Amino acid sequence: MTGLASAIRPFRAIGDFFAMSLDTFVLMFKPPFAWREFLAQSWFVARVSIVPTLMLTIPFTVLIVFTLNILLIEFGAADFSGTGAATAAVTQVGPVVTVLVIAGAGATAMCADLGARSIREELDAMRVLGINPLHSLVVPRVLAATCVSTALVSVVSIVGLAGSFFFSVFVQHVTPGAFAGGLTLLTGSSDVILGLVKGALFGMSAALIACYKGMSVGGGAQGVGNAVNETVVYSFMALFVINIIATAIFYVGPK
Amino acid sequence: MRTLRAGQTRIPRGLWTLFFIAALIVVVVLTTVRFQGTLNPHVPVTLSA
Amino acid sequence: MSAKTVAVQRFPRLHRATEQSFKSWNRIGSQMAFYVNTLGDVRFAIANYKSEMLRLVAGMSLGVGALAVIGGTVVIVGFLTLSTGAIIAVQGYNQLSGIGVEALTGFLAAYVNVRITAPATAGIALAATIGAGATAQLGAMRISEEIDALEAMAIRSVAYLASTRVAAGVLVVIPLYCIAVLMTFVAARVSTTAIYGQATGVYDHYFTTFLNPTDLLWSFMTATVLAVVIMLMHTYYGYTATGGPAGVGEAVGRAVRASLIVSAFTVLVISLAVYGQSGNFNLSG
Repeated sequence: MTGLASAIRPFRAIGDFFAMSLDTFVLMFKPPFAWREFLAQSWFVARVSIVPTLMLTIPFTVLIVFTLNILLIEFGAADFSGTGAATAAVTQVGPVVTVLVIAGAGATAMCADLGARSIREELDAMRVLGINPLHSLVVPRVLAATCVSTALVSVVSIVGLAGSFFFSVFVQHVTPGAFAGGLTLLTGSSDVILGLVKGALFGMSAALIACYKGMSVGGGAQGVGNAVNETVVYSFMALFVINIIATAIFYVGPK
Repeated sequence: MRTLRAGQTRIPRGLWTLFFIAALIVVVVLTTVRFQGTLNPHVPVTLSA
Repeated sequence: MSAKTVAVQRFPRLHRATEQSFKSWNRIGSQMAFYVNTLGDVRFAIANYKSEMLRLVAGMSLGVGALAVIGGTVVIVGFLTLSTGAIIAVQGYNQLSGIGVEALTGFLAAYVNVRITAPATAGIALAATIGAGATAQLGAMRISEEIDALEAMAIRSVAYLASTRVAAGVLVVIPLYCIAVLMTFVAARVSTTAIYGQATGVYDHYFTTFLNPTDLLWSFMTATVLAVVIMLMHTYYGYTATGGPAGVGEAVGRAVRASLIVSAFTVLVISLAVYGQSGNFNLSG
C-alpha cells in the first residue's frame, strides 16, 4: 500500500497545484485587492531581477552575435549582422533570459519568503485570523510577477540590441548604418508582442509554482532548501515548455 | 604561527580579493589577446565599407 | 579622541558606506579562500572519501526525493536541451525559409547547438538541479549544526562536503553533457524532418558536413569548467548559510542567481578565447 501511496503522491501534488491556481484566479477578482502588497512585491521582484537580467543578457547576446557574425562575415553578408542580432535578441535571448531570471531569481526569492512564513506558522496564524493567504499573499505576488516579467522581456530586448550593436560595430567592425538598417528585416512588431505575451505567461507560471511550493513546505531547514530547489527545477521545465508551445502556436497559427 | 579563529584564513581575506582581481585581469587580458590575435586584417568585413 | 573616532561620528553615513564596501571586499576574499581550499582538498577527498563520492554521484545523476520521481538530473538536462534544440530548429527553419535556404537548417543545428545552446543550457540545468541541491543540502547541514559536529569529529568538513561534491560534479557532467548534446541534435533533426517534412538526406548531408569534431571537444571542455565553477559557487553558499530555515532558502536563491551569471560569462569567455575572430569556420572548403 505504501508503494501505491508514494506513487500517487506526485499526482496529488499536481492536483493540489491546479486547485491552488484556480483558487488564485478566482480570488483575483474578489475585492479588496491587496494594493500595498502588490506594489511591494513588484518592487521586490524587480529589485531582485534587475542585476541578474543585465548580467545575463550581455554575455548571451554577445555570444550569439559573435557566433552569427563569424558566419555572416564568411558569407560577406556582414551588413545583415543587424538582422541576425535583432532576431536573436528579441525572439531568443529575450524569452530565455527572462525565464532564467524569473525562475532563478524571482521564483526562488518568492518561494524562500513564503516558505519561511510557512515554517514560522505565520500562514496558519493568518488562517486563524480569517485572512485567506491565497487572497492576501499569493494573488498580489502572481500579478506582480506577471507585470515585472513582461517589463523584463522589453529590458532584455533593448539591452540585447544595444549590446550587440556595440560588440558588432566596435569589435567586429560592422558598418553601424547597415546594422541599424537591417534590424527590422526579419523581426517585426508581431515578434515583439509574442515576446511580451511569453513574458506575462512566464511570470504567472513561475509565481504560481513558487507560491505553491512555498506554502506546502514542511520539514524544517532541509524542507525549505528542497522546496526552493524543486521550485527552480519545476519553473525551468514549465517555462521552457511554455516557450516551445507559444513559439509553435505563433508560427503554426494565423499567417 | 598564530591560532586561527573560526572563519579566518591564513592569508588575510582582503589579500585574497586582490589575488582574485589579479586573476580576473589575467583572464581578460589573455582572452583579448587571443581574440585579437586571430583577426585577419586584410579581409574586408562588409562590401559597403 | 582620535581622528578616526571624530570622523566616524561626524560622517555616520559615509562611515557606514565604507564599512559595507570593506565587508563586501572581505566577503569576496573569503569566497576565494574557500574555493582554493576546496580545490586543494580534492586529491585528499578522492583518496579518502570514496564511498561518499559514489553516493554523491548517484544522488546527483538520478536525484533524491521528489526530483528522483521525475527521473533526476538526467531527465531534466535531457528535457531542457531537447526543448532548446527544438526551438533553434523551429525558429531557424522559419527564418531560413524566409530567404529560401531552409536546407541549411542542418548546418545551423550543427553550428549553433554545439557552440552555444548545449553548453549554455547544460550550465543552466546543472546550476538548477545539482547546484541548488548541493546548496540546499549543505545549508540544511549548516543550520542544524551538522558541519560543526563533523569538525568536532576531526573530519575535514570542507574536504568531506565541498571537495567531494566538486569531484562528483565533474564525474557526473561528462555523461550528462553527452546526453545534452545528443538531445539537441535529436530535437533539431526530428523537428526539421518529421514536423517540417524536410528530406532526411538533405538534413543529414548539411549536418554531417558542418559538424566539427574539434568544436565538440571544446564544447566538452566548456561543460567541465562550468561544472567545476557551478559546484564551487553552490557549495560556498550552502556552507556559509545562516539564519535558520529561511536562510537556507535565501542562500539557494542567491546561489542560483550568482551561478547563472558566472556560468554565462564563463561560456562567453571560453567561446571568445577558443573560437577567436576567425571562428575555426570555413563555409566553402
